[in-house]
Amino acid sequence: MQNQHTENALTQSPQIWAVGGGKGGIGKSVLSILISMALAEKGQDTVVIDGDLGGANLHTFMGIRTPSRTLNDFISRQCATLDEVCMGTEQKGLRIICGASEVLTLANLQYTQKVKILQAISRIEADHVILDLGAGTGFNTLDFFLSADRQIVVMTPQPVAIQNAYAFVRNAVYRTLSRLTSRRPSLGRLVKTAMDPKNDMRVRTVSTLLDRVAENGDPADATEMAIHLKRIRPTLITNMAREPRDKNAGRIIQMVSQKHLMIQAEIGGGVYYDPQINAMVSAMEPLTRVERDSNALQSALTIVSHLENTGKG
Amino acid sequence: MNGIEPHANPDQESIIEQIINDQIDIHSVEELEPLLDVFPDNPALYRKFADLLAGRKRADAAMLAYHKAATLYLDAGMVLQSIVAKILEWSIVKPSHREGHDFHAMVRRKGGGDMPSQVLFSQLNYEEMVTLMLRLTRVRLSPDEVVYDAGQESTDIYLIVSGELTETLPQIEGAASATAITLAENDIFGDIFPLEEESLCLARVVATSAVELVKISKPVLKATCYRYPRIRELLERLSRIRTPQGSRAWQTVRRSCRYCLPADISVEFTSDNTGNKRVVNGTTRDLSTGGICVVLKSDTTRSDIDALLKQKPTLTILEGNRTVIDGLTGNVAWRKTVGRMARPTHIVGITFDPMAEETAIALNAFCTISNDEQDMIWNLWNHLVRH
Repeated sequence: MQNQHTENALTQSPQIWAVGGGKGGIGKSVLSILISMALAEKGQDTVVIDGDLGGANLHTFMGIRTPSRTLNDFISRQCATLDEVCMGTEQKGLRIICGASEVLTLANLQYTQKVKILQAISRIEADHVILDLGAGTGFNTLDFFLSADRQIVVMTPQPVAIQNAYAFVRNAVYRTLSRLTSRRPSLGRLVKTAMDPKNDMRVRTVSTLLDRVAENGDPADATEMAIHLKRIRPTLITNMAREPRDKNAGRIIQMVSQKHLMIQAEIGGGVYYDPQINAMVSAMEPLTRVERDSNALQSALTIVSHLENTGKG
Repeated sequence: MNGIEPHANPDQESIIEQIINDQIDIHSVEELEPLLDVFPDNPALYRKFADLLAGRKRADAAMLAYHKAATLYLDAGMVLQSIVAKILEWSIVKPSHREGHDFHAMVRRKGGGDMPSQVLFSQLNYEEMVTLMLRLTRVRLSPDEVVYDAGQESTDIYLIVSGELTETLPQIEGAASATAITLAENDIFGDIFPLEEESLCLARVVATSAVELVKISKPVLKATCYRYPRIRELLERLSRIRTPQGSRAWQTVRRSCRYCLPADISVEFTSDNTGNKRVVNGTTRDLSTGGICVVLKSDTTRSDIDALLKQKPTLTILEGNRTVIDGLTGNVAWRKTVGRMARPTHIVGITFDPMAEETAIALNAFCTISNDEQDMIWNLWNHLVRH
């Protein structure tokens, strides 16, 4: 295990990035690694975690066939901290926590296990922790996403991937509202009904839902819900762009989310399709060996710089 | 209905859409009925079922099916489609005033929207609505069939129930090409105003898909509007509205994808009495929380299908090689083989068993976002991303 933390890493909690997007095969894992590499390149001590609890494979992108330590060693208490589970990579300043694909039940984490993992992540000695989430919109995936400081939503420029990424954001919003109203049966029912896109109440937007909440209950409830929604600030990144126009995919989710979900998403930029990455993945060559001037890594560096400039990177 | 040569394309299009559009032929009521168990909330499927029943002179059953279709259409905000189903229901048994008033109240409560026919019916009072319903005549068109040509005397005004047409204005001298506009469901067209004078069609209108229209003739409308002038006002205004081409383009796309996103499916079942497990793979574009239509891969054998029909399959929804939702169980309710004899494609419809709440939410998230959200995504994609 490398122990090359910056001074900040030893004194503060790491900034946690969650990389999600709903659909499989859109390059979430590759993007997680590229962002991690870009941060490490900038001298930031970074840990990338395979958060795909049902189908862990991030280690294969690092050229690791069988990980000697995984997240399961922490869950099963063989390791006391996540730092102990970290494995070094060929890139200076970048470590990896491999996923626990051998324990399929992890896909159905208990609440206490989830809390334990989240607390442990916040105690990792690093500047940044990148959490590569699994596909889909399961509660665990959404909870990890929502707990992060920086919520990255990845999509490719294809309509289905955009729609899936939007569904991911939509479910994150309703997961937030469901948790918030879990002890308020009448409000909970209202939120649950609004989740159904064809609900009879004709609630088609979160804004309308909050109006109904204010009408049917205490206006303070609606205000509280709005405050929680403001904390969801997804950063939208278009992966595998082939033309500049493809990068507009993020704009679509930004506009639809603003109108229907009351969410202010941020455009994180785009990563150009890079055949070198595909070749490396096929050959199980560690992505850390990607050429420094490759399109993909340069795009990731630009994204990280942009996010640093916007104050959250 | 005009015959359409079947040209099923199960790999690329929604099976339900193809059945509704007659690209996959279903002539038997018995064949369609099980599919309603798989997709119990699909109004177009119920309408198709009702038409089949009516064609078989099974009036009582047809009336119930039209009633169900009308209700489901209205739930989906498809007012004109609901009204047409209601016209067909009431053509079998005349409604009481109470039923008429109840339906009108539902149209006012659930109707609305931006499309011309939605605006029309949501603004009519009870008498106006029933009067117009009594005077509408249904028309079915095949692709390439001409509704009218430019310069021809204009005799009717039309409301599009389903399908698409092209309206082409004559080429203006000096212009590079003639202007063509796509007309689609809920649009109103026909150059019959002013009603007091003879009028000519200003454009050529041709069906580009299988189309269902309702129309009202000029003399009938003139007589109707004498007593109900608001019908005339609304029709005159709304028949001039044309949806911008960009918006129409996405609506066409959306229609073909309305039911769900394409996904890979793995179906596991016990292949014989020894308890051996067998897995067949396929794809779907027809998925709801109630069931699924799976187009099985070409390596699926007839014996696989026969075994599958007798068993309770377990389904896994995949994206690439990743599991999105697993543990779905159900029953095969429907099967169909399409394509060439030498290379048939097998399709099965499976109803889901009751599922855990988390699975239901995940499935709902996977296969549905609201039409408004979906429309906005497609619209923006066309404008911002499409090359």
